[in-house]
Amino acid sequence: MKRISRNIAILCTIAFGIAGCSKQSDTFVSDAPNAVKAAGEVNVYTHRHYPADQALYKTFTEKTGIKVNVVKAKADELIKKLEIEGAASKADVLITVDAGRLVRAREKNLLRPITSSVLSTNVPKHLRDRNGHWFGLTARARVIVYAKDRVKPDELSTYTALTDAKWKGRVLIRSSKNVYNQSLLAWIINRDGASAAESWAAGIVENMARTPKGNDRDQIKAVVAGVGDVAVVNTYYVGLLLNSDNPEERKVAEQVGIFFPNQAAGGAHINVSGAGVTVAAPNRDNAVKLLEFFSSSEAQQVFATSNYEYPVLAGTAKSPLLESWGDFKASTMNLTDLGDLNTEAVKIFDRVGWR
Amino acid sequence: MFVLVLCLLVPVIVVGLSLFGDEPASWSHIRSTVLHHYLLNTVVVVLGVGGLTLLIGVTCAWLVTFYRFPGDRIFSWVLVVPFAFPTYIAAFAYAGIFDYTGPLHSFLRNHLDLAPRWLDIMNLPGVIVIVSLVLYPYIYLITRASLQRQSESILEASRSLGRGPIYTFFFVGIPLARPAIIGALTLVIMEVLNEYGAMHYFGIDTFTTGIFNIWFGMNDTAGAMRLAAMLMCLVFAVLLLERVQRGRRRYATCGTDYRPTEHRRLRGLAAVGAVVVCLVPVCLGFLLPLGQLLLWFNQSGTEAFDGTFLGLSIKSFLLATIAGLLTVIAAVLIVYAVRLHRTAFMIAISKATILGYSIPGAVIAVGVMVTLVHLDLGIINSIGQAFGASPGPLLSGTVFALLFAYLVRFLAVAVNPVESGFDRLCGSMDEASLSLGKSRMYTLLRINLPLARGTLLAAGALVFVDVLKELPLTLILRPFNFETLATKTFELAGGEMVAQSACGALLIVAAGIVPIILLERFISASNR
Repeated sequence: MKRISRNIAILCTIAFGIAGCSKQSDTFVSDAPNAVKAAGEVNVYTHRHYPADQALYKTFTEKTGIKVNVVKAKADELIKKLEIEGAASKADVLITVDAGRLVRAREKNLLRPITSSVLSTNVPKHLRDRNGHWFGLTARARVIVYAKDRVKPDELSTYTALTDAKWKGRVLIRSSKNVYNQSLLAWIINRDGASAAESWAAGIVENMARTPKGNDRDQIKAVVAGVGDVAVVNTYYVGLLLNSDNPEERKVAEQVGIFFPNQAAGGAHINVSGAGVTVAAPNRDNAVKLLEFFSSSEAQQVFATSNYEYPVLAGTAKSPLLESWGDFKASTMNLTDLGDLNTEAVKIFDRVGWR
Repeated sequence: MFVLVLCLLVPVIVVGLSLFGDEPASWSHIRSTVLHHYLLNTVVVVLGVGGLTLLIGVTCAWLVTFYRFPGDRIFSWVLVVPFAFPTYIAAFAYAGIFDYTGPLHSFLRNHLDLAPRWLDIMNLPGVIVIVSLVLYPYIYLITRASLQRQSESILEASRSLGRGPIYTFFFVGIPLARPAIIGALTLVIMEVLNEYGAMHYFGIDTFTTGIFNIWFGMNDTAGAMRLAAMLMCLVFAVLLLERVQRGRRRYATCGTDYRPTEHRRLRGLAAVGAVVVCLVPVCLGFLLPLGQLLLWFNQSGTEAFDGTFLGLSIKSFLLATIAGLLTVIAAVLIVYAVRLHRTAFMIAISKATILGYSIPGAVIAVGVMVTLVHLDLGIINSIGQAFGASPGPLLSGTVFALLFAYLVRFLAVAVNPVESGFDRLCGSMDEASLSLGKSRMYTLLRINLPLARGTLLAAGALVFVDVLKELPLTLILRPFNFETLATKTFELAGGEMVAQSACGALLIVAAGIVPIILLERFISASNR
């Protein structure tokens, strides 16, 4: 037994060692230790895992001296983590990839209201919480892509029109477990009511070219492969395909057109990737500074060019690609109003058999 | 000992407790709409993967243990290699091969002007085959370790009674290896049950999909925990059933007539057949997905590969090594305790400790977080009372939290092989040692452990590779800025940039292969 306890003791020492090393080796900025000490740090829980974000954290540290510590996981897991940690949580900022999750976090009293003139100037009203619990940072439009050789853009009009009998067996869309689809349906519920939303979902299921599988990219590829003729996807996936390292993927993206739906009916559905400051935030001021930096034209520019998302700050120069897709009318429904319609949306999906 | 088991059980109990209390809001909805669909898919996938992994794993183990054919020595370790592939990476790689823009369809389209739309892998049979191809090494490795310790005299007896090799295989060899095979099969099934990434991407709704649908989709963590707890109960019942059915049979090799098994040489068609049988799983389970990763790596270049990967590899290695050692130690203590006190209660407890493996990592992470936060609060309060100052959280959000979580999760991976290794040890040796006045600890360390070292190493290697591949627990429980190879790969694979993550995936596979091969050699050597 002695031997085992000794071995365990040795292991514990090694474990301590790793813990120590990891603290030293993973800082984002090591060349300005004094500045870091003075300015402190900010702890981020984020669902976003793009290399561009990493670069932005680095820029932020260089500008302010504030060190950014990050844990990346799924939004719902991070929300649960915040809930369990309670007042002892070290997290300052929660970043998600849809507004619905931020609303959830607010309803669980995990976010604190922030008053910042910078944020309220930079972020349009409908893309942030009315009381400042969270702010949208980038917008994503859920649009229709179509096979250029089989579909004329004037055949397309709204999301609802995709339930017409003429599209039977031609519509591609991913699984209902996907948050972008859930937000789209929540948006329709809020606009048209639950029963209209349910018949919309049932209509789409009726017209599906196949049982949903794969991600948004796979839907676009299936359009080109001829599995279906139209797909509902987020715009930036087309951008990512167009700039792919694989020439076959670039070819695919060139064969589809982008159609912004509902232009005559209130605008296309958009969602935001956004952030809020946590209730327990030990570094509240730094957290606000980080959010303000994300809304600045410098950061917005990076979001718009590296990941083909739409900037929330008016007047930010768009990437040539976003420019080429043209301006479109986006829905101005306040995303807070979606509340937790997400739950209702999932139930509808299950009822109509949208896998 | 009891305290150790209790600690490891707490997160499982936390999840189990959700069975009691009010019925969650989303439960009736799930039951009336999608539950039957989830259950049907789960049963089909479990049966499919279970059957296929048994077929591949046991057949290959039998061939390389008892026969000589061209390349048998190489096959004996190469057959383990697909295990280095995390299931979700294999699934993504296969989806990539069969993708419209992937190598297969691009070639057919551009050179042969063919567009066979039926050539698709993203369906139920596809997922069963892919998952089986990366999980069969569990069965192969553990079964082979068990077969190698079978005594030649028993098999000889079968043959001398006029039974052919097929009869000997099914009615003597396999029944003798039963505890090992069942243990390995249990691991495979639990891994299938908790698999989320591959199933989600392929659009296959299983019980686990349901758990996340309730949690993420309907914002009902309690409901998700309840569903997970039900899954756990089901697995627990099956484990106990198997134990009861096995009854009082023992599988130990006693006596002095133990002789190592002899190898029979295969010639002609039989040899070719054996080579093909062993070659297929290696090609499909390893070479093909590896080729796709290399293709991606080649396309995306080395842009994602920077200097941090070396540090990441070292850290991931250390973490996996420590977790492997701790888990094997814990498993030995639990199994030995059951060996000493073979009561129904002890057996039930030992089965309960491995349940953490049957439910999704994200769910067990919640159990671990609740446990550690309460422990932290306890420590903070007692220190606060003693010194009047609060130290802040000590356990949650540290490497310890992570190691504890790995221990809870992967105990099953270690307990099953260790248990089967101990089952094969003759009880009279224990008795001899004890009657000579040696202590139980002495008996364990000097008699049992050296005799079971092959299976102990197998257990350690399995846990090591599993920790290396582990994703959901690590993502949720890691300290700030803590990256492993798996999390880094996931980060690059996020945003649906699978090709860019090829570099990380290759490193995970490479990092897994080296210890797998080394340990495989060591296990073989120690069994000879």
